[in-house]
Amino acid sequence: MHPGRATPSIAPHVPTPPDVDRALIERLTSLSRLFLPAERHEALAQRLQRIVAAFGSLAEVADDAERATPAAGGPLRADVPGPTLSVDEVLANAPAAAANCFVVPRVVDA
Amino acid sequence: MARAVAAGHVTATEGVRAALARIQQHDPQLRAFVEVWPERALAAAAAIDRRRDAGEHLGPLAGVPVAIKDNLLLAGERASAGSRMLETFRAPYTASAVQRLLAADAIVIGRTNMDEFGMGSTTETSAFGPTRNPFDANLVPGGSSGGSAAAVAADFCPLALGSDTGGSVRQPAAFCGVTGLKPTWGRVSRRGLVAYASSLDCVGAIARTAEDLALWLDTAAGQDPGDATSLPATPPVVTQLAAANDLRGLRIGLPWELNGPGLDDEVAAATDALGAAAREHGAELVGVSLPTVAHAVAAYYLIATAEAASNLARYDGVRYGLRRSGASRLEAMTTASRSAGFGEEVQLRILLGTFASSYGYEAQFHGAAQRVRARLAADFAAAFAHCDVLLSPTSPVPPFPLGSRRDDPLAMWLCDALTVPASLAGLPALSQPWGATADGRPLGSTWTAPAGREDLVLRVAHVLQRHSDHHLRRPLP
Repeated sequence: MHPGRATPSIAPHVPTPPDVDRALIERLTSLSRLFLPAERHEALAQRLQRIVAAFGSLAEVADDAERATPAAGGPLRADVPGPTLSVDEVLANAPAAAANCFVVPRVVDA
Repeated sequence: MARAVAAGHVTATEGVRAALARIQQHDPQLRAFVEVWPERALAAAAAIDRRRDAGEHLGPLAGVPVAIKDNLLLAGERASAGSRMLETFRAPYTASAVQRLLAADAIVIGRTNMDEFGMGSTTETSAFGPTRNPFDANLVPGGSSGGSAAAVAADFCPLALGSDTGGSVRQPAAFCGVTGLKPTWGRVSRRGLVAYASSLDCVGAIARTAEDLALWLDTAAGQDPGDATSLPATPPVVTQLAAANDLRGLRIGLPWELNGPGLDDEVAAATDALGAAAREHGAELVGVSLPTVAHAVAAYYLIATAEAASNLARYDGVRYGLRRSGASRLEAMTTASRSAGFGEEVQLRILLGTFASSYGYEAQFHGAAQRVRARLAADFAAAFAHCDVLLSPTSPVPPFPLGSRRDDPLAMWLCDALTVPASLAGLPALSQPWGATADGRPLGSTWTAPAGREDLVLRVAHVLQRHSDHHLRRPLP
């Protein structure tokens, strides 16, 4: 601490954990591309609320620390094309394929 | 086994036939395997026998039957990661870790059961039903590599591959009375491992002895162009073990946060006994501290689920995996497919990870977890200034009954409190069986070393196994 500088007296701001309500559940399921029947919303909200409340204080713990950075691996391989799977191999697990392409439901309106 | 095959004392075919017969006898009750590959295994064994008869050089795992976890790919075979989503998925290529097994002349005999996508500690989240503990069929075998641990404990095979994201090799090894190694993050290639949380995922192995794990690590470790995070090879370990007779000069750190309140009494007593045995063989015990470790479970679950939410976004019903047909629009099809293909635990973790990394919450949750992770790594570095390895129990509780903890995910996650710290720091750790509860349930303790020092955890476990028989306790006749 620099001489003469006041010691900060305010604790780091830790936001209150959010309420896990129906709107948040709907937002998360939409982002996750998951459908949750309405009768499961309440049970899931309770579970998530407990978890969020238990984990919400983490911001207090190491507020002055840097974020962890990914560990470095070994040297990278040369940036040249290597062997790849054939089109047939790639499509072998596709639920629907035709003419060397994946088949999906309609994406845009005609 | 490999030495016996190479010397001609037993043929690879005889070894595989014995393994298959034992699986047929006991696995209908245990369900360690999702699928056994007898034709493939017998053909591989016959090929090895022919090569031995021709005087050809054989690899260090020649003829050894090995099981692989259901999230490792073997070209042409199914790999489902314990999920309905991948129930019919057939691997288009072979995982590097499995390729190295094959190059060492091991014989892959089948794929083992696991918690769905590695998300669980009991195998109860597997879409194919739980595995049972060979010591008591009413108990969980641990997880997520519970099938691999049960297979080794039941003597179906002397070696099984697993994967360890937050303890998924070490905890089931402890619950099943066998030895499990999670290498340093990056030590073994993850190419062909179905991803869960990429900054934490490691391929590991389970065997009866540390010596067998050293033999495996020497064949498995090394850089792989197919995994940019893989590390260069280190000197072989197994040859170092031959000269390891005692632990003189080794300083063992006991982190009080991992050896203190909250532990089951019998668990704590077993780890104390292991520490005492190490001291008898020349090691010095010192107290150390990991102050941030109390927050490791929260940090782990926020990081792992955020990465899982991203990794599992690939299951969109288009390229592979389950598709729920009938939807007229792409997004509706994807949502229906994911909802049908993922189990309840996986869905919960995807939702939590999406929450923790989404706008408005990232700094308080995922960002905070990353800072805790950095602090924890600094804690470990400070502790290793005073010791060579750390000792702690593997699980705070002994193996528990099937179904007894399924309804409370948070309580289940807290059981990972002793394994996730090493995962967050990317350190090698080995669980070795030591002691049992009064009613016979196996207990395990974990050695943790600095990054890249698998040799230390293997050496200490090997020395203690040379002078004890905890690892030789067999649950089935």
